[in-house]
Amino acid sequence: MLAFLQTQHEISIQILWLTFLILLVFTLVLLLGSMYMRWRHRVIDRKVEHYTSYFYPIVLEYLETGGKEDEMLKHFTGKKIEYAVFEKVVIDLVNQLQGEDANKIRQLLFIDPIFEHHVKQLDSRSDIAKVKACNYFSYIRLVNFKVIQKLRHMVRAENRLLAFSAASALMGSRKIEHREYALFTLAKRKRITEMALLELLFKFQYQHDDQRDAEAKSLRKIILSADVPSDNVALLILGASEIGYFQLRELFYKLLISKERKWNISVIKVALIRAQGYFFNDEAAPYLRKMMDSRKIKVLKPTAEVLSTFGGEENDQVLFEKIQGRNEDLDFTIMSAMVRSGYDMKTITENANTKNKAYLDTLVEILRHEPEMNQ
Amino acid sequence: MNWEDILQQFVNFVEPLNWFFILYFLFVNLTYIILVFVSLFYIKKQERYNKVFNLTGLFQSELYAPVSILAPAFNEELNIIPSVEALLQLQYPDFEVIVINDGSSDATLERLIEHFELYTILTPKKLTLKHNPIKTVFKSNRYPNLKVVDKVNGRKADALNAGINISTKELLCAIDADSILDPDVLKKLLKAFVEDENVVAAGGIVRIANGCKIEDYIVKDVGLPKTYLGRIQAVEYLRSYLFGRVGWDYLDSLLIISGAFGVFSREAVLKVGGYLHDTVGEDMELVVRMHRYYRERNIDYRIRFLPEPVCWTEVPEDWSVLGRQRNRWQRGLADTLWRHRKMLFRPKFGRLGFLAMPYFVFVELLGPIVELFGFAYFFIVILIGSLNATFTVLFLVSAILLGIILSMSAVICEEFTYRRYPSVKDVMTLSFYAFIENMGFRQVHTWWRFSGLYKFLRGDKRWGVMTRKGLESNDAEAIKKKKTKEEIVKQLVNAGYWSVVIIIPVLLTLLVYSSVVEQGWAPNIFKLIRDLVQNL
Repeated sequence: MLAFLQTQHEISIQILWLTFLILLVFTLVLLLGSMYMRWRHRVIDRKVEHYTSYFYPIVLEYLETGGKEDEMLKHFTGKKIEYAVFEKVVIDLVNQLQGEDANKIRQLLFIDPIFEHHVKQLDSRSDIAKVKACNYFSYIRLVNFKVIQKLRHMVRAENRLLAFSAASALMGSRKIEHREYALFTLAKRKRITEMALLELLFKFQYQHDDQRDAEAKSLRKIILSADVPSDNVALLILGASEIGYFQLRELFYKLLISKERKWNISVIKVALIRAQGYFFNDEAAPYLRKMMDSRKIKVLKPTAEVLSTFGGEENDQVLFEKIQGRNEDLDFTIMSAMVRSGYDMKTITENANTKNKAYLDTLVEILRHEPEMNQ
Repeated sequence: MNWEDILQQFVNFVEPLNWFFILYFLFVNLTYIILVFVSLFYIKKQERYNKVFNLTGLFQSELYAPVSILAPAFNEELNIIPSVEALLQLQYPDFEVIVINDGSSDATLERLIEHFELYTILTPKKLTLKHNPIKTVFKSNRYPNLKVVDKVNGRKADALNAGINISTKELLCAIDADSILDPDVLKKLLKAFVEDENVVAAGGIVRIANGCKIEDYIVKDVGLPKTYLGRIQAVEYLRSYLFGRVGWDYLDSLLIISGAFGVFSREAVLKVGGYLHDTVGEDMELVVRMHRYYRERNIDYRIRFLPEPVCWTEVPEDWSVLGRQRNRWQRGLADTLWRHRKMLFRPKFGRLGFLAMPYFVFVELLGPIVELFGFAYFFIVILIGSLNATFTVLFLVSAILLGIILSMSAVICEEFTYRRYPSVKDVMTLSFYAFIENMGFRQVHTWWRFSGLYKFLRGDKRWGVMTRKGLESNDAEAIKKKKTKEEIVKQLVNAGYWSVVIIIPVLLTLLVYSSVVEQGWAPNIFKLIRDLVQNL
């Protein structure tokens, strides 16, 4: 028995020795690994610094002298890092400059090794590499059919960030059909965030006004589609109104007064009400005044705000009656909107009933301080 | 019966538990190692995504998610102006800052009124969340996006609830008034909400501001703290955030978003009823309650941790203050886990119920009891010499090495990704502190957590004594006496902690040495000295 225990003890010590040695080696590997990584990053950082200071003047000279893109190739020795830094320098300058200068510099992104590299990256197994490539293509005009096909395919990817990046890249295309396809495909997805959709909508507008009508037509198609979820429809209505697609003003008004169920879902209704404010469509005022009888705060608040934006005696009268009726937080919003719209404050306090007078006095006093009120 | 017999009896009594200790040790470390591996890969992937993630069109619109920053302040007269000014300079197109003066007894409010030219506005009548009464709500003439709420003193949770009631934006960012946010922090955190529409809360990393060069409340140069405790905490924070929270985020089971910095959907916070007043761990409790609320109703949601957006915070570099903080954290943890004990091992809560909750209960909550018991047992066994020195030393050193590996993994995670500490010297220093953290500090820390748990069981829900000057009494003599007494007690406590930090490595060295002597690999110096003295 004693011998057995002795053996057990020795085995446990041997196991412990082994564990100890493994852990010790692992600790040293981690220590040396962190040192090595720091050293490696320093080397890379220095190289990046070196190539950045090398390429900046060359690119600026190209811009000034109007050199040719192909001539740039002689400055490369074939290292990957050179191309990566060059691309970064060019993108930095594209972001800083505007107009013709930006377009001229943008041409440098087309040089063969960089373009080919990113085309290859689109077929990479790594989603991150694909996203990187998409980001690159969002900076250049999309003319290559194969690239466009690949991007269109990626818009349907499971990975949301990849789909979003591919759609963003397609937004760089001059052809409205590609942009419409990207926006439509993502708008149909249920699990896309409001913010991502908004981002795309803002990229959807082409830089030049000559496509405004075609864009509005595409948006109309997407908004009226039964495949797009209500939340996304509401967001597109709001975004399109905020951007100022006046071509849609008529449509949004028709949808506002429509009795069809879809356009009366509260989230869409609110968007349509707000749209009237963005377009300053006072044709909608009579309908909105009627809506002030609604008991839904969600609907009442934007309606009051839009009516106050329109101003005018009839609208102010409706708002004022609303203030007299109740004395709750809801009225604060309405009153603020009303007072901001320039309704005579003295009239408000003079006409207020006794119950609300003190409250209104304070409110007017407060709003007097508001910087926007003083303007 | 002498002391040796009593200790021997204790050892005999505990001996059958040997296997329990070993299994517990393996369970804990295995969990940590899994978390380390998950985090190392996941954080790298996240970093790559962050690099390629860029938003350009979004900020042209006013329709994206705006943020209300809630900054509760209690007696912050010294720092309140620069910290609020810094918040107002954040790079984000639509945000408001709401400072909640939680009944400060110093000149916090007066300074705010004077500096920001505040004027009174109406207090909303319908307040969704309950809290101590609001006295006045102010707005600034200088910054239209600044509001100040003056209220009767409650606690941080109470102040945050008041801020939530006054807030008007879609997202809420809860911070400490003395937190320093990187200027682009909100943009970076927005990524979580852009990626997934179900995100209801997201936390960023909290890093240590001690030792950094700070100008205009913005961290200009990152540096390591200068003190022992500061540096130990630098390693701790890296470990806790870079592989703790990253790992739990990967497993979709994040239970903590730091109170110093977190962004929440306002709607979600209101749905669950806001912060709980009756706890000292309100930040964790809110997150766990959100999990519970959504899981019980089968609603899709996500709570995220992003390791890139940084909030800088000053950590205590004094033993007593740090001890009180850790004690409070442990009580908060215990309180939250107790309140939500129904989530434990319930299939409805999925990974939360079978992974995260058990981990927090058995490792984080009960860990100090097991560890302390283990330390005591080990110490006694060594004292009465009933354990083989080689075995003891190997076990102890292996345990310490495991601790070092875990901390070193956090350092390497940092090197893999963000490299905020600029010099190689910093990396060396962090590695060194990852090494010494396990000898002395870890044992003291275990004691703090243990006493926190004990206090929780006794029903102590105090926030902890705050060091403030001359507010209670005008009697200069009494204050002086009280201060002297407090100072002496503090010095004694500090000396106690320091002695533990020194004695443990010394003991360990002696143990290693005795083991080496036992193996015959080195001469017994003590014996040689004794012989020499005898000869002399």
